[in-house]
Amino acid sequence: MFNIDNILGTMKQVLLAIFSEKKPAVVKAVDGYIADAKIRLGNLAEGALSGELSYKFVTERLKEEPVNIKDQLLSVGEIIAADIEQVVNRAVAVFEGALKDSVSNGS
Amino acid sequence: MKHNFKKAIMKQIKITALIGLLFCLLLSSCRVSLVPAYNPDVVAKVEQASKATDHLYDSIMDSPDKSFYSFSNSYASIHSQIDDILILDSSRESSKIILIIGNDLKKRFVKYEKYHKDAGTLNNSQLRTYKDYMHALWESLFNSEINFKIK
Repeated sequence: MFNIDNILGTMKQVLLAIFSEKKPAVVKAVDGYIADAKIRLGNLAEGALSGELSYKFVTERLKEEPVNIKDQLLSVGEIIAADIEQVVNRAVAVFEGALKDSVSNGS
Repeated sequence: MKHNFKKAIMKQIKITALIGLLFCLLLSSCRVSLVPAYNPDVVAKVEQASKATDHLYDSIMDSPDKSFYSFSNSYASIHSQIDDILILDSSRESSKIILIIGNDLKKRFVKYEKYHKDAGTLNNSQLRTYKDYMHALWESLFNSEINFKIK
């Protein structure tokens, strides 16, 4: 029906191309998604092959898989957003510190 | 003349202090809040509701009676747990992403519950699939909550 390893292998390449491999938290999240998706899609394929899951049921779940990808990526995006927040606020704090110094020195 | 000079210097100091203060106020408004603050209570609630969802599907799979009405109370309990989390998250600053995931999760839970209710019963492959697909979104929600601890 579908080759899970091929799909997930390509998916991993796509995800790690977008998010730097140098960021361990992102890589960990991507690896977590791939591992879970492998189990999920494996169980789905097993159910389909055993005849317990109808074609319609399997198709409906496959259509839901993009939501799983989207939400997993959004949670990864939160890691990046948290980093950006920290960097921006640190930069603002540097300017604030410099301004306070210049005001207290009267220069 | 000396008095005027002193007055001019004092005026200059006051203006500098005022400009400095204005700059500080301006920069304070530049501070960004892109993600909500880490909240251990929300994390605990997400963990608890996620386990309850797994437990619901495991219980139905293990039960000889898989009818919807035998588990309607468990469904209702998880509903209220999801609603609690969404209420907590909607009151937090910068929780847009978390709310997207939370609403996807709620929508999916309601959909699967309706399938069970409409069909009356489900087989173990269907239940295992629902458990897996719910788990995926609980995992995303949990990750997005726990990620703030990393920063």
